Amino acid sequence: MSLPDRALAGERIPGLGHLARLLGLLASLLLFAMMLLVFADVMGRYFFLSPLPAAYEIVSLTMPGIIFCALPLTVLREGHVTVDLLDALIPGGVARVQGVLVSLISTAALGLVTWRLWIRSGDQALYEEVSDELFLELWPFSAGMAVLCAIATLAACVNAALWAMGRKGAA
Amino acid sequence: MTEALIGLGALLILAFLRIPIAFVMILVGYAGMAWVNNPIGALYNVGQTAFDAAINYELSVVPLFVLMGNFVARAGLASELYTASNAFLGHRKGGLAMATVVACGGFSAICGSSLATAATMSKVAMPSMRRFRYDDSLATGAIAAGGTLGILIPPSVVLVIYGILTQQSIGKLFAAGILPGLIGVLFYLAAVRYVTWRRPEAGPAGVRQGWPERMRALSSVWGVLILFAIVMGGIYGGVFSPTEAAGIGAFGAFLFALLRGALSWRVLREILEESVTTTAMLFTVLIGALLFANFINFTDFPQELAGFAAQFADTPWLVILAILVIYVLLGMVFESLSMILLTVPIFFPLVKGLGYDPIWFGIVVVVVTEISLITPPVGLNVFVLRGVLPDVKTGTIFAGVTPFWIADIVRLALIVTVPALSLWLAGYVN
Repeated sequence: MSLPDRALAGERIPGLGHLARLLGLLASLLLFAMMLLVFADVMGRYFFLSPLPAAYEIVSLTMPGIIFCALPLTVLREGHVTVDLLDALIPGGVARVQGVLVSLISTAALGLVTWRLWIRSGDQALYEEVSDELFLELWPFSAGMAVLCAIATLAACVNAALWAMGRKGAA
Repeated sequence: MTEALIGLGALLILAFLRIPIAFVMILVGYAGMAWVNNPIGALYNVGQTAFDAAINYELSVVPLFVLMGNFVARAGLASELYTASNAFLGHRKGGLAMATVVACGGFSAICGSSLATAATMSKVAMPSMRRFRYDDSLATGAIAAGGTLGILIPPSVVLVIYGILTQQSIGKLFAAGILPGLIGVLFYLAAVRYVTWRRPEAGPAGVRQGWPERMRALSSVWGVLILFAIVMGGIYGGVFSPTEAAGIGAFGAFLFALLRGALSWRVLREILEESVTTTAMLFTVLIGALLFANFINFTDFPQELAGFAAQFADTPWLVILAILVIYVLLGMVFESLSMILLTVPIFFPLVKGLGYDPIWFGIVVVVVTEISLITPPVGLNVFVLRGVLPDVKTGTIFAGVTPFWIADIVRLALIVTVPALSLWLAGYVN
């Protein structure tokens, strides 16, 4: 079992830790707002015969906000699902090297997604893609996703450094 | 064929090296696509898939059901469910364990996650089973097994994902999950009966309660009933879309938690933060699984597999049996959602091609996933209990789970051989 302060090592990083928690709070607010919106939409439709305009699309556009705002915090906490079947067999020193490598590979995967979202955003700006109902331009959404994903990539990189310095994993 | 097998092999090896499954699937999915298609197209596929998976109305049902489950878990409804089932069953031999199973079933009706069900019920049911000197293995086995009902009895996050993956009606899937879930409760009760028949000292009888107490306890679970009725009734009747039902359910659960004084600002923040980090985790896995599935579907693997299975056209149940064996084996290692996301794109076309019902197969997949949650060596529900009850050994819990595991295998056989158990109620959904 890792000690609580080790589990929280990532969140203690000044700057990045604060940013990740702030974004986590923003994601929380978005989720709460989405819940209220869906509720209000249904109530409006059945009791006042006036659904909220474009609720469908606002919900769709809120989803990436929730997911990608929460991503840096999830990465810092190493909250992603892993197969930890072999953990008991791996000695402490090897586990540290493993932690570094795993974090670096995670950085690569997140970096790939960041890059491609950024390119996608450029394409959407170029072809002036808009949403179906509100005709909002889509590129700011994909650009925002790319920026948030970049922060998550940075968080994975910081995890690698924390493992290397022995500030993560079992004591 | 070879490309797909190498991809699957690479995925398994990298996952075993402890790289998060989501990132493994993203990287292998991309690399595989670059190999079988072309590197540039594969790159564009990554951006497109990530964007489309995130901006998706249908998938908004996932965070909302997660949020509903977290509100419900914190609202303390679990303890009332337990008190109510205890009032009816507690005086029997093994009665507290039976009450645990029934309360787990009830809690599953408002919570779509097995881990949350096991974690919540362990805090509620374990203290009283300890007080009555229940054997630790029976007590923890009942909680770990009962908790698995969370993903079968609707609402269920896993069924939602299956429905979106295979383009099946979520309402029908939810309806189909009800009877197999109830059968699960009955079989678990039988498992408790069996344990206390063999070892009466494992589950001593509690105090018999009179009808006034029973009625009072029953009347306190109305909140659970109302939430279930609104969410499920709305979906079955075609009044709400699943997202709307989930939004209303989450709001209702929020009101419950608020009215019961369970919410401080800090608790509300914790609930929301837990829900959004879970959501981020689920969607990363989803994006990875979509990329991996794109790669597999681009190879000739699905056709080869279908061709191979076509040889068994006269005995299609052999294919189903093989798939079930693969699931039980994978379930020993993989977490439930990653396993479903990984396998359904491969097996679904096969099963459909053999003429089986997609809704029925969804229920079969979920039941087999439930089994994986209590199968050694990984069995996630067992580890959830370990986290809540650090003084109980893992081996003790697995020993306690064994009779329930056997009950599950019998239930699986029943559900596989009698599709009507799943499809009868689903037939009534609009």
